Amino acid sequence: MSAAAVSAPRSRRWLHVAAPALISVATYLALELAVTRAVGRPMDFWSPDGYRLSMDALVLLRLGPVMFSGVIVWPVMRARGAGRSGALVGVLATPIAFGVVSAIGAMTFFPPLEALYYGTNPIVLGALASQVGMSGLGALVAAWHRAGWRASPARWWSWPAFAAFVIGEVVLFACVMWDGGQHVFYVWIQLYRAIFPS
Amino acid sequence: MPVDEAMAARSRDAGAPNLVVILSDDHRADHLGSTGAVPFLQTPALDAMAASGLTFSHAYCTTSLCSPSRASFLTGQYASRHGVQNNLSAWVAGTTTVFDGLAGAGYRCAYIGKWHMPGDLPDLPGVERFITFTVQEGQGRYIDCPLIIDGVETPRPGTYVTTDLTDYAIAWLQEQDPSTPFCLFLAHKAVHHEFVPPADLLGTYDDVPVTLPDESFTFQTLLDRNVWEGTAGRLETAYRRYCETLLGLDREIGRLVGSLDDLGFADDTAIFYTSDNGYSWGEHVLTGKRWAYDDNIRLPFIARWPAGIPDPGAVRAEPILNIDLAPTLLDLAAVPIPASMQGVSLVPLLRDEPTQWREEIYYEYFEDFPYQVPASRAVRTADHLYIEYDRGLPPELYVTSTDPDQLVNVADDPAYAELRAELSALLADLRGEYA
Repeated sequence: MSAAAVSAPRSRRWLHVAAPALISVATYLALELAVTRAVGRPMDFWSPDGYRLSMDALVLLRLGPVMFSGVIVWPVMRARGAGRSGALVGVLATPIAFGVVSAIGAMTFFPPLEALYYGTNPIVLGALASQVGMSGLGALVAAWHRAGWRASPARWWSWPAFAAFVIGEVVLFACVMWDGGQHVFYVWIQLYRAIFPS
Repeated sequence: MPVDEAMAARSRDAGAPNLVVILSDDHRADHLGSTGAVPFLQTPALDAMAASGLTFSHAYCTTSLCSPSRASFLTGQYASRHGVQNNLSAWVAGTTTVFDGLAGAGYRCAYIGKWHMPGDLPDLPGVERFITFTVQEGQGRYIDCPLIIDGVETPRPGTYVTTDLTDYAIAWLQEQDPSTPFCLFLAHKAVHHEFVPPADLLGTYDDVPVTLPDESFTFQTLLDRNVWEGTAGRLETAYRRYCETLLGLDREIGRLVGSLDDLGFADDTAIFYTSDNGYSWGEHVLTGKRWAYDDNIRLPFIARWPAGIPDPGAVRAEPILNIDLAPTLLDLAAVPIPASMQGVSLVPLLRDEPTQWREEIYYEYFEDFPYQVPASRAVRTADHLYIEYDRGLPPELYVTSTDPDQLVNVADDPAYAELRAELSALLADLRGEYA
């Protein structure tokens, strides 16, 4: 058997395992692009209300892959044979892409190193945490589903998955929602001052 | 701090009025009941001030951001000179403020309210009462905001900050002796986000129809350009709370002005109401205040001075600046205006006396991480706004006489090439003069 014949099925298998993560990243990028292209252009829509409705939908839908896709990506990747670390990379791929896109966008306004730091902002951190939490939730739901919906929790409950869900969502809350996220924001800004004192 | 009684008597004999400055936060210029721009908005106290005083319809800030603009009000200088260039740059110890001159003229002075400049709270020479707050990086809180009262941290449970600061201001006014002139500088947190109105006003505007700009949409607050402005959520809801917070501020202004009247100070007191900068509510799909557009740089500016303003209810259209306030206060107190101040006294305009006035204003903005607004400079003339950015964005030119919302950038239109070159040269000249 030639090397090419072996590598083709392997790459197809990799694609099969990674597909949920790739779809999540692609969905985010497509929505980001759509928002960027349409924002501030009500004249390009069929009506002012159509513009508002479309923009609100795009902006809210964008949160799905960034914050919550882990609930699907984790269990599907695991079911397709991904290891824990591989599934974690898949789950975090979209918020990392979000951070990278944020940093690239920030280069319009800040020097490169500061723009890079911008990519670590509390919303990106909250998105990473949320995806960990969603992975825990996804793992629990998938285990429940596999055990049968009427099965005793003893057969499918996982404390580590539950802990991941709770910790992830608490961190998301702290980063984004606790007093509008300003407590974590000010810590992040103080770090910025320490790193970029000028 | 002992008052120089001889100087106080001299100031009184010279007819120097008491001075009261009420500075709000993020109150955009057209959000006054008297303008009619927002049909449901009620600001009866400010409207009454305008009716009995003078409104400046074209007041601007030199930097549209809290800390730099506040420092400009106090020093009469551009941010380039006083050094507070953004919300992260500290007040330079020893900076001369308007209080130095006023105290030298025998004025008793108080600074009550938002200071919001990084670093340690300064000793303000000439200020005998300094009440402020430092929580949340100096932004303060609407509810239960602990105050620093003459250097002592004081919990204030059960209080609403606009009311609490007004109470302290009125208490200080009640201590004043008619024989000694005074200057009260009252700087409110309102109407800055988190837009928390007093409990009894919450929901007042829930059912009124709100009209925001065509380019805006409900969740624009989640865009990168807006997300740090503290308005995440529904734009319309945040806007209603903003207007209700403004309603609450107006009520407290009415209470303060009423107490001046009750104490018998009204005729002998010049009161100024203004804000540090404006605010965008959806214009250019922005929520915030850091751009050189009119929504951000224009200020409400009302003066009431019964003994000095000859034509109550008048509106003046000369372009005035935040840096004009400090020299105005000194001029009213018959104190020489230091050469270091870059503003110009408004007294001739208040008195309706003939004077030569500036025809354009220079504006500057400095990078303020993480807000996605490049450092910029702009010149605003009667008919045009021209902006140059340090990085990332091309110049913008708007013909404000035909495009008041500044939506059509004609900077690259060949028909405006000559004008653009002229304004660019003017901007460079102004930068050389002021920065």
